[in-house]
Amino acid sequence: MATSELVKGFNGLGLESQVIALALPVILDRVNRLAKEDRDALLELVKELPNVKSKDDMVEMVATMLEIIELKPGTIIEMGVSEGAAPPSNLAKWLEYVSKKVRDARAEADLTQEQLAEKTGLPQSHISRIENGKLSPSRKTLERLAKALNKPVTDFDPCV
Amino acid sequence: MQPERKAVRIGLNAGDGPPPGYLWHVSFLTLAHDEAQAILDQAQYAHVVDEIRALASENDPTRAETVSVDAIETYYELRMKGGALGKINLRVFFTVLTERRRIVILGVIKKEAEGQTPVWAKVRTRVRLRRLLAGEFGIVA
Repeated sequence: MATSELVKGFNGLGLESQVIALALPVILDRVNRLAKEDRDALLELVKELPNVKSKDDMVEMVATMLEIIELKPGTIIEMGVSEGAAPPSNLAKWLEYVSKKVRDARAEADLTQEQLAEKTGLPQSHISRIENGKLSPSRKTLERLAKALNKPVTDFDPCV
Repeated sequence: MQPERKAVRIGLNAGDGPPPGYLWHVSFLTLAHDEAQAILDQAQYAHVVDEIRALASENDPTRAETVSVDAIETYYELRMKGGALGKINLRVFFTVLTERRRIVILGVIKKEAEGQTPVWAKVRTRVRLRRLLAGEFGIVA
């Protein structure tokens, strides 16, 4: 087909279609330059598109496609933690609540921290840090404590 | 009057930390950090850090006793909910570089409900892991 005919055809498209027609070769070029594993990943996402049900999932799906196509830059950095800092107020309230609940339940069961550690399989130091409000326990830890202390887990965590 | 406690920011490295101490170094991708910042408030973020500290104190982070970990494809998922997170269902994806004694956080997502990890999250994490191992995010210490 002559160039003039292509241009004529292009001009006959709506603005949106013109943008797509211009963008498509650029996208295809980028996709072709991706590592094979990344092209396969992109294809997997395309195949999954018809199964996406929520708007949020669609947004994440598109974001993932763009991350792959653009090879979104990033770096790896060391994780830092603040030692000795007061926890944020919402967390402080939660720590106060859960530490008291665990302390009281252990006292009610007449167990030492060491005995509770043995019953739960958790390190004694872990239990000590929870009871002293120094550690925000995971759901798994709370489930183990609840089971060992014969309490429903909702006693320790009303959020779930 | 007691002197005011000053916060000290330290690396999460093997050999440091409260008893029993961290057994693993922890790093994260800036992409994962950005995701966590977008999802979590300060208190929730502090809770997530506590769970990661617990993970770093485990003999084997892939079979953790104190936090919930599942294997997905060739990486792992730390599952969190309740407590300081409230109704948020959080997933933190990570890999373990055993020879370097290092955990690398690859991504963070929020889920509205229990159930399977979404395909986009699996694919996104798989691609990030490939890029990490290929050195595209820099050299892992």
